[in-house]
Amino acid sequence: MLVLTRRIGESILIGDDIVVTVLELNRDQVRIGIRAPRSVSVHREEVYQEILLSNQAAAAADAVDARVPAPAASVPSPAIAAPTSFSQLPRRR
Amino acid sequence: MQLETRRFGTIEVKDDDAFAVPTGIPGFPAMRRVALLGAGPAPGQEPDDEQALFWLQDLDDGDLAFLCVVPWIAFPEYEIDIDERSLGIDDELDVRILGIITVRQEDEGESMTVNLRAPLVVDVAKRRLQQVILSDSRWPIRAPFAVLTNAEVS
Repeated sequence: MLVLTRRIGESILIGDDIVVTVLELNRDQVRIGIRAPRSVSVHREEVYQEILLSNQAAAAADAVDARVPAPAASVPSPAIAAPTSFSQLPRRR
Repeated sequence: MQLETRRFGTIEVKDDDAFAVPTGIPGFPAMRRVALLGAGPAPGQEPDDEQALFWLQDLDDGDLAFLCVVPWIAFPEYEIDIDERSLGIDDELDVRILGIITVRQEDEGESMTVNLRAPLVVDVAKRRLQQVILSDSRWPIRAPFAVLTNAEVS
């Protein structure tokens, strides 16, 4: 891990277009400003971890199996061609 | 192609129906090819209503599938702001959105929640999808969606 010492108001440049600036110090908290292109996703690590855990819980949820019709088991196979009908779904609002 | 799945037995998926997941999703980085299979109307909808539930089935791991829902069925106020261009989407008309459902076993039945914070953004033209973490913290990771009570079990 690269470790750098910065003062308030000073920045770190990552690549050509990501700027991380130390804005404020407050006891055990640091406020950090990040300027990055929209194509770079920036999140608190906990949010990413929570979404990871949520995905794992969703994948593990066998309980739903009995309640939700399985595509192959309960409908004739033409209906499985969902991606076609999926594309017909209303757009996001 | 034919796919052996734990949930559904053997299913037939046309190659054309596959979607690529270029980067996988958090927790499942190896899930790179999926199919979206209709799973009927959502709880509370009429049987012949528009299909709202889909199975996102991993095409390389028959045991891995996610139940998803068109979020506006249950959350009409839901809105998301994504930058199509930075996601590699040419036309916003090609975008479809799904929320991943989590089912939890509870005393009174099963509760379903939808992840509105990190929706699946599907590009139906390029046949790709990705899970996008929104910066808008208004939308919860576990938005209560439905409770299937034990009384409904026949």
